[in-house]
Amino acid sequence: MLFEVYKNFNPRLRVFYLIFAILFLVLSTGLFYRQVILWPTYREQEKKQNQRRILVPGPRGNIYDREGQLLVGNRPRFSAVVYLSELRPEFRRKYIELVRAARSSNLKIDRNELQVEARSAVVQKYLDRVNQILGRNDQVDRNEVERHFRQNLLLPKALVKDLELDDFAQLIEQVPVNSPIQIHTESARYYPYGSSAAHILGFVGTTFEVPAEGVPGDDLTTVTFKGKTGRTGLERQFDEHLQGTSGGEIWVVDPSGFQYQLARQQLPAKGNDLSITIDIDLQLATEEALGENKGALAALNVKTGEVLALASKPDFDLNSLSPYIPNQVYRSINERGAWLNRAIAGLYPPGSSFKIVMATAGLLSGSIDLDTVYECRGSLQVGNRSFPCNNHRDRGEMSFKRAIMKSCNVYFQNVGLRTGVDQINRTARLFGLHQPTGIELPNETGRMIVPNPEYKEKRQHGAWTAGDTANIAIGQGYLLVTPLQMATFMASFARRETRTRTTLLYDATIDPRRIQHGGSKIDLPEDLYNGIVEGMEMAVSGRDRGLLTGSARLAHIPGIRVAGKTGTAQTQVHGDKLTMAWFICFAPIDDPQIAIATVVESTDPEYLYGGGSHAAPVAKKVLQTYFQKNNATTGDLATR
Amino acid sequence: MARKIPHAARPIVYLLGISVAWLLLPVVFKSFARTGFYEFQAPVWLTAAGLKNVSQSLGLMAHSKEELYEAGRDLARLNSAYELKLQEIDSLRKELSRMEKILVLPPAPRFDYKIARVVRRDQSSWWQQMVIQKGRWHGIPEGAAVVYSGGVVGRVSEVHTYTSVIELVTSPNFRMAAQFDNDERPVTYQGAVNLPFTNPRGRVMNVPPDVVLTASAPRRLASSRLGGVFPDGLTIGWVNRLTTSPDGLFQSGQPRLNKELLSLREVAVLVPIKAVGDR
Amino acid sequence: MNDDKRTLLILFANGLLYFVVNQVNESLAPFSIHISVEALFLLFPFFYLNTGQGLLIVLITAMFVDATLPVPFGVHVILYFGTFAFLLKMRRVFRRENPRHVLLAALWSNFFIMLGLSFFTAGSLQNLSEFWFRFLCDLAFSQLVVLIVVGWWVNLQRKALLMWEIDVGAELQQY
Repeated sequence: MLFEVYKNFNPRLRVFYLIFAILFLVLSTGLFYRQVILWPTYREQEKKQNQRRILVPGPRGNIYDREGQLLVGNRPRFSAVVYLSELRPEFRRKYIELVRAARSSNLKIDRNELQVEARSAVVQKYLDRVNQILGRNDQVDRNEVERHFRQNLLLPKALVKDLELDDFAQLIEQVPVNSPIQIHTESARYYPYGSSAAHILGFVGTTFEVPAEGVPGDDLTTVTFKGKTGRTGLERQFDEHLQGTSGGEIWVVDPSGFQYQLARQQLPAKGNDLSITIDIDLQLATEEALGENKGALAALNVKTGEVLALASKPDFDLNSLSPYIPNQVYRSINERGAWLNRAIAGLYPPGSSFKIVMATAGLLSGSIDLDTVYECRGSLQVGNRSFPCNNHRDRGEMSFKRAIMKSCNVYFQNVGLRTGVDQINRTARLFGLHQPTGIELPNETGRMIVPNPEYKEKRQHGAWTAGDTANIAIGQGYLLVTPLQMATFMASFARRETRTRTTLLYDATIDPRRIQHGGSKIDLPEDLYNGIVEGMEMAVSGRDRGLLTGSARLAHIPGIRVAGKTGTAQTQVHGDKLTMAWFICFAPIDDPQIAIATVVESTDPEYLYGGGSHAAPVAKKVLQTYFQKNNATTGDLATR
Repeated sequence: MARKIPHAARPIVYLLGISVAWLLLPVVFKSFARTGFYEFQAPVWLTAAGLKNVSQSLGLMAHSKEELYEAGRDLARLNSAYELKLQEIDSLRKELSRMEKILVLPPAPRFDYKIARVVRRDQSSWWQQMVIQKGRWHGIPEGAAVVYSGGVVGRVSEVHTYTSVIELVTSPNFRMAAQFDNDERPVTYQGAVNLPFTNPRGRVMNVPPDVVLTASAPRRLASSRLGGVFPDGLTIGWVNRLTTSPDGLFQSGQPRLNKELLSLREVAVLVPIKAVGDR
Repeated sequence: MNDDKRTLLILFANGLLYFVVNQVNESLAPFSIHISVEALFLLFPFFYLNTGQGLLIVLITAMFVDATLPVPFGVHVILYFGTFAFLLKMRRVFRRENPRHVLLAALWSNFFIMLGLSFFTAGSLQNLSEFWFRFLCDLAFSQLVVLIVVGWWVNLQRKALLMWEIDVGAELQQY
């Protein structure tokens, strides 16, 4: 009997086994490759798809004055918000309701339109609740809701922005803790002194460029709350220092982009604080003294070069620029010309205040000495130009000190002509009047002019004449300086040095004796230097027959020895000849502490301003405040 | 013939079935059932409270006549002191009205006080509430402020026919506007989890960074009228330490609340006068 | 008839327990301690009643408890049913004759209900360590109370039924 025998192994099947084995191997390898080798990549991709990062900028650091008074801080800015992701079930319910309503009315159903309608209606429902509590009647902007839904789903949707404190309190108390309505807090810049030191402090603007260093999730899709960046003043200059450290939230989102789980959170932190050299009391006194005038004043600590006050008028209320600048406010500031920081960017001919430079130049060059006398007949003819001298009524011989006291143009024009433009130019440059002071503020102008013949030729104004020298000798002509430069000059001169390192950064530990101001000693013998100072003192406190008769007598303060010099410059503004009243000074003479330069602009060509009548009283008020505050008399002064 | 559910699977089937049935049950039914069950047991709580009153009265009867005379005399003194205060308040009210008229200010909110006994309390880690003996029938509105002699107690969260439920100031779900003494800026107060054998605590947030206080000079946290529910100046607690947030915008702290809050027997519901008139 | 009586009596007992525990909690409130012995509501229905009766008692008790608390109405219904379903599933393991089984069932059920309630109601508080500390304290005290009273409680209900001449557990289905 034959039995059919089936072999367990058929050699012809080998090839199939082989193919199967190869295929299996390929599959296994592929699986291994996908599951094990590519696992980190897939995980990363999944993470990127599923996670979103929200950047939260940290509040900026505060700015304090030299005594620790808060000048710029942060105030909370409350908004009533809803997170759209929390309203998702309600969106769905509302949508179904709308679809049913449309069906029952036999209306054509536009699903997209109904979804938009549902979202808008739900947000309106919560806004109505807020309206009810706050007694408002706000309406939801449908397009805005939709834009927020499409673009900023992860960020809270504001129902009411900028809540007043009582509104905030009402919502806190009357909205349940678990309600989708939440109070969102942002920081806005806050300026306790309003417009004071507005130009120094500057303001901030909003930006989406928020620093993300140190916040995890660099590779994730990121949305950002608006941050702040310094636009002007110290806010801009020290933007990086003041900038807060950003925080961040990493959210797990569903395929529709709704956040549902907070995976990681890093809290934002406040930026570094800044202490500046300004004394807010002095600053306030300065601004009050300048009043409604256009002008500027710079007050420096003679020894350290610290800026004690730096005012520019007109100014603006910084709080009106925070959290954003309304168009109306911007236009108003623009029209008043208040954006300009006149103290560092206002260019003025220094007028007679330049005569101190002239006197120094003359004495340095040896072209004059303290006994040099010129006759003043009320005018000086130089070439074909006649220069009047209306600063005083004395006619006849004028001595060096009396010429400073009376601010005699004829005297100093003669000094100028004898000294020569090159020496005048050298001396002005020696004091740094040809370059910015380097103060830590943006927008300090670099367009100051200390002219010389080359300058005039370069601008094709022709050859330098003796008349130009006579003009420059009284601080007119092409000469242009800023008030801060003149204050710096005055501080340097008070220390008998040529330069002062002006600064706004306060460092309580600094030893004034170790400060390198970068200049040299004024190369004048003591008696000559004292001669100039005496002339300046006579301008403030000099008397004839018992009466104060110096050009700066309105700056006289009993008990305080002030060395000052007035100036009245003329300049053309839009075709009008306007006067600029100057006063520069330092005090007390025995141990100089404070140096001031102030300029007050006239705005009406009919009304002439004078340094003695308009600028000297401003400086006087500042000096009084300074000495009252420091409890200082000539013999008892604070060292800083 | 339908297949029988195996014994082992029955519990799960029951659970699922009942859960689904419960979820599908109309809201009306649930609401009705809840109200029904609540009102059904309310008399029990009221009776229990009444019994407690009786037991207290019986306790008082155990005092000697002398003790009662003394207590009566003390009470009479207290009454006359309160009488004086009432007159003072009356004149202050008149002064206030006069000032409001002069300064054309909206009148300050006035309240009617409804005194109510506590009939039940639920103070666990999950919720902090109590039930008082007055409800809708007595004109208690939802959301009204509830106070006692020591300050804020909470807010009416539910009103039933003869009882009301108070969300206590210690509850993490309770939030109100508050202010520190001599500082009118509103801050946020919220209840917190209370740990065993300690004074109840809360949380105070959104405190401006310039508010200063120390352990040796704690400051009183009181209610603020700005919130619209509570009048000014009712004590919430005392704060002796504040911590500044990393962003420097605010400080926060943990006010210590009065321990009496956990064993109150009687409270007053502040019913806004307007709400009374509306009834 | 016996069924109705039994149901009524157990419901009354549950109500009484609820009331007594509330009074105890009122006394403990100044110490910020809260006792929760809700498992005791389920023990007798589980060990001595048939499933239908048990479920009915659990449902009514749960609604009774739910009605006064600030939770969505039905939270206790779901929680009690979940616990009861688990107990039913373990009917072969837990024997009513064995006091240790009764105790174990009570402790486990109580733990489950308290934990479930925490997850249902705590919301964002779940992220706070203080919440869980308080929860653990309450749990410890509650379990202690359960440990002490469970035997007495079940016996009390049994005796009450016997006093009313109701057969205890005669109709209990054997699994």
